[in-house]
Amino acid sequence: MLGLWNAVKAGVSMVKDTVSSVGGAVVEGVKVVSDKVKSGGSKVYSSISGKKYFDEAERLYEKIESRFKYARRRYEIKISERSNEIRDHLQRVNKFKERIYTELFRKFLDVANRLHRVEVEGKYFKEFLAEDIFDCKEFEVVQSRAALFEIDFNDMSFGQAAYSILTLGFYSRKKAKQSLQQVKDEEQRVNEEIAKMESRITKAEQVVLSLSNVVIYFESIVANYVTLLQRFEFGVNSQRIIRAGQSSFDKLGFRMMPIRHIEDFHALFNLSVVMKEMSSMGYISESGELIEHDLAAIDTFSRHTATIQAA
Amino acid sequence: MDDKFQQKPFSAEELIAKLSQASPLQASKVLIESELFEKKSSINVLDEIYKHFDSKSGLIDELVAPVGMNVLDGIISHKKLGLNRTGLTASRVWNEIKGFDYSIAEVNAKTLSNKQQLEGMRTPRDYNKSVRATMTDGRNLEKRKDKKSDSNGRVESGIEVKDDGERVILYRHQQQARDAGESKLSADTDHVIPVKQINDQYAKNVYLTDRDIAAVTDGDFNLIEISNELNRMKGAGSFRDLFDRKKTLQAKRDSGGKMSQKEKNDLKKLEGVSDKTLENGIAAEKESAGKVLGSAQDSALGNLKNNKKAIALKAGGQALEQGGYQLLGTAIIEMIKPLFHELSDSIENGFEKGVNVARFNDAVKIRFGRVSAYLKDVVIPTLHGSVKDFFQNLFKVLIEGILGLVTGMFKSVMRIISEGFSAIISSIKIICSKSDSMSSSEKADAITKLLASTVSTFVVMYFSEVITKIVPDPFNEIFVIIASGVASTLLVYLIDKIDFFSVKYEKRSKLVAEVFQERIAQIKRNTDAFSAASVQALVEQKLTFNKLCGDLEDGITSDLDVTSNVNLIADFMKVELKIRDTESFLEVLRREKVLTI
Repeated sequence: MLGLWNAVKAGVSMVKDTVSSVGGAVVEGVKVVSDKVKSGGSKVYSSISGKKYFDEAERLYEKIESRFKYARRRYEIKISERSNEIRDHLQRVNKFKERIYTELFRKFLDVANRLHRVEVEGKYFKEFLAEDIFDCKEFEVVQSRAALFEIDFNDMSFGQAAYSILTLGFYSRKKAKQSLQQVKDEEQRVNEEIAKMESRITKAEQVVLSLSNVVIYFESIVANYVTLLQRFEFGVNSQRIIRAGQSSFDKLGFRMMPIRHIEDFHALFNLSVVMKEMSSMGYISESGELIEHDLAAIDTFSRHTATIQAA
Repeated sequence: MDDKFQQKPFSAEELIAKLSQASPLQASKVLIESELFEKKSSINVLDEIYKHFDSKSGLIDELVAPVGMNVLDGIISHKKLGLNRTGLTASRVWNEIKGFDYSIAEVNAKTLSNKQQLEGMRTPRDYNKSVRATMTDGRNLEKRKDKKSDSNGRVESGIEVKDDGERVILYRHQQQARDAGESKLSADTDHVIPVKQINDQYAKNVYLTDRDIAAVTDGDFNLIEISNELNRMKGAGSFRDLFDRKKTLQAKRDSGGKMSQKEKNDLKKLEGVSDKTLENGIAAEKESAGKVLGSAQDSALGNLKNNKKAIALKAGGQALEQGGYQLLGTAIIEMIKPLFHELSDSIENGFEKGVNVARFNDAVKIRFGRVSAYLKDVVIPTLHGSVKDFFQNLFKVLIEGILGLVTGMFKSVMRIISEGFSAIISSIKIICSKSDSMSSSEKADAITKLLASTVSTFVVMYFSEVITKIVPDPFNEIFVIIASGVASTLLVYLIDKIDFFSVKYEKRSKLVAEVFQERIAQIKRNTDAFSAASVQALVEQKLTFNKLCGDLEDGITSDLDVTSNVNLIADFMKVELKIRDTESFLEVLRREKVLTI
């Protein structure tokens, strides 16, 4: 009996399970259908209301914003790197200029004045890197959402909703499509801004290259000037020693000098003219300060000590 | 793309030239100053594109122009008006309509009735002896010769001069000349502008009768007395031809070129005629050409205004209708001008705004008021005669119209079927077009417009049966053409304005993309060109400098004179040196107490 009862129970249980599993399947089926209906309905709603255009516009807007942000960041880093290089080059150039006035010209006058009175007039230009040299702030950022979106499905006013329903979605669809097209237009505009940034980076690279040339010019000319000055000084000193033994020797004049020393004098004089020109100009802009450094004859040095020290 | 949106191209050659002109020390500044793209903000560019798109000028070209051209083509190629035979084309008239302005309208009307009609004839009439006989009469020439002779039978040449500058005296009769032993000096009366040239130029003009052409050909202003020798030499050519040939042969002889026997003979003959004579001949040709044209124009305008039966004499009854209809066609085109002007202006500037009024009714009054004033003041007075003539022929036309009624109805049905069929074919073409050339919205928009314009044409055609009864032929067909054109234009314009499928923004985006893509491509091209030119120039400068400095260094270490090396470096740096040689330096040392750097 018990066995039968158990069998019945087991049978009932089986039926229950079956029913339950069938019921589950039915429920599942209904759910799938309702999901499908929902998603289908949502698709239809999106198409009619124009929400699909709005969603696309939102996605595109976010993409543009992040692309612009990335490009802007890259631009700032690159420009900052190039600016540092330019700053370094300018510092080296400024040092050369200072050395020319405080050391080399002084040395040249010191030797040259033994033969003839020579003076250096003028000032040198200590250059700084202007902040706006690459117009970093010139670029137009991505326009605000408010400027581009004609409708916001996430925050639609009652009036807009009512109008959309009354026009069978015609109104909202049109506004959404307009928004999408305006965002697409913005993408094109932002592309131009990015192209401008790339162009500016290229320009900055070329400026660095040109400045590195200037550094080389200074380096080489100064080195040759120093060597030539040594040769000239040695020549003048030799003549002093030779002339010192002569009874009539009073002061060494250029007339007593052999022509090869006069040639050195001449070459140094002209090279000084070139170096003075190089020291008086700005290479990037006109921002900087003029350093007073009139070097009169060697015996007037004391009067200018203060200026030299200030430089 | 509109030029105003373009980025200026950057010239690499210009940069290289600037860098080579400036000191290498200033290279950085030159590079910084280089403009690789315009300073205008891209937001402003976008705004300008939007404004440009909204300006509606494109709409006129896209919408009104095709319809306008169709209407005009319908009128011009209308078989009864035969305006295409006058040289008028739809595009030519369309250009006039586009440039129409009430203030210059009178000039246009005159231009059309005068110059265009006269110059419109394209293929010249065949020229032969019998045609020549209708144009010139030997008796006229003889009469003229008699008139010009004095009592002794002598005639002064119209152009020939002797060495002393006096006119050559010719003999009226050949026999006289022979008796005097000067057979070459018998007088011929000749046409200054040859008969064939007048035939080619004027014979096909519907407003000139044969009599008019004969009067022009044998007109006093086109006749001249010359020696028979010069006349033979001239043949069918002109004095200008004779003069040019003489100069060519002389130049050939003077330059030692080999001349044929014929050329030698010709030159000999031509040198027997003085330059002054030929120059007189050329002047006479110029004067006569002006007078022939003036006289032809006067005759044509006279016929045009009075429309005497003169035109009928030209080529019979058919031509009478032809001429009449052509005049009528001219009048119709003149009427269309202000109508289209109003239509275009309403679309471009707004129906009310275009005339600076707020109310629709006021705008209607102004717009239609000025059209009717224009027709009354400008068109009707010019063509009054022709309209009168048309009505004189009206009975004939009406009979023709009745006869053509049955076939006409059949034609209308056929037209509706073919129009509808072509609209369907066009729709299929649009649907099948590639999606990258047209979006689905654009396709839908295009098909809507196409079907709407076809429907509007059908509607007008439906009413054309009524119109046929009210309006006389050929006005009825013209009226239908104009009405269907205007109706479809307005309908398509309205559809465009409503923008069912939001195609406007899509189209605008296409323009924006086109403009910006081109601008970006230009910026990239500019940047590449800049970079290449800059690298090239900077590397070259560096190499040159290294060479110069290396030579200086070598000179110093080898204990050589380096003044010239320093000079070269200064030249490279574009620094001016006042004392370039040591001799001068010594001179300065001797002269100046102080040397200043």
